[in-house]
Amino acid sequence: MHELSIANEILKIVQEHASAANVKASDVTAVGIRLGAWSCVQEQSLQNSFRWLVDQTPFESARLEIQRIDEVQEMEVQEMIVEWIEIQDQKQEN
Amino acid sequence: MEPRILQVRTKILKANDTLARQMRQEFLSRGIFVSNWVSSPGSGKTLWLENTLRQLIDRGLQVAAIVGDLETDRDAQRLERSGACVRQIMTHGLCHLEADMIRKEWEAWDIGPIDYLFIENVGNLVCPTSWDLGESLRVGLLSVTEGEDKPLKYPGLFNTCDVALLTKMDLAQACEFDQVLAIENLQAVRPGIEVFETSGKTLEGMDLWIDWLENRRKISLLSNP
Repeated sequence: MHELSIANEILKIVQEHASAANVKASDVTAVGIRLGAWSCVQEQSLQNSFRWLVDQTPFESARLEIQRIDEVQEMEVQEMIVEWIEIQDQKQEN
Repeated sequence: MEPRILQVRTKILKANDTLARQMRQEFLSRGIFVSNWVSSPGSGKTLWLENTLRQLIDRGLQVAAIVGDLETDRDAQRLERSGACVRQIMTHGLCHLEADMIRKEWEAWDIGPIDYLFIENVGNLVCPTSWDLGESLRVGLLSVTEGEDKPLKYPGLFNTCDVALLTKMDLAQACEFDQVLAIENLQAVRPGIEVFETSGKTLEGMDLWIDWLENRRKISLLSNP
């Protein structure tokens, strides 16, 4: 259930960064996140929550790519980070 | 056209963490020691907290509590029996408390100076893990009826706790509870964690707990003048 809150925070971060970079919401094609080993997030539930939030919004082209990090050395076990946003600029029409 | 990547590298709960950090500083600057109590439902949080509130009031301290539940204000009513000021947050389905919920409740509360604010989180061993509520101390409770292996099954939550309370110790024998193993399991996921053996029925462990809590409060306030 808390995955919906997490998906909502992810979407807010994506909106903020896309807006700051003058990227159209419809050009965002993927969002990469990393989850620590003990972040207590169920991946399918997070995917479903994200999809539910973005469907029928300008961000509906965005898919969520989740990378779970089991190596404690790489990140803290509870950490959850939005790493990147993939953007597919639409072709300019002549 | 090839897709391009915009680097973001931002913590997902950054907004909550930033607010929680501000709240922690504000609470400490006002001399308020805040603790966040987490456990599964039915672990004995409310009874032990009610007893804790009563003991602190008996020592002349000003205490208050915010309690989170999906529905009903039953726990708030129980905690009020101690004489403490209590507010109930009904989350209506949400499985955890967030910093902003505590802030809103706190700002709407016309309360005088207090020494302690206790937050009894929604009973859940998963969802409250990631949400900092501005506390200075996170208390994890594990009842003997749940079994010794709970910390290994829910390492995320117990790893975030500063102290653990083994509750319902009056039932330990009947449950064949192995407290040595339970403590080993807690230490495995949170090395160095302080553990208290307690019973809300017999008040076993209460004096040690209150002394420890008071000590932690004083150290915390001294460290944040």
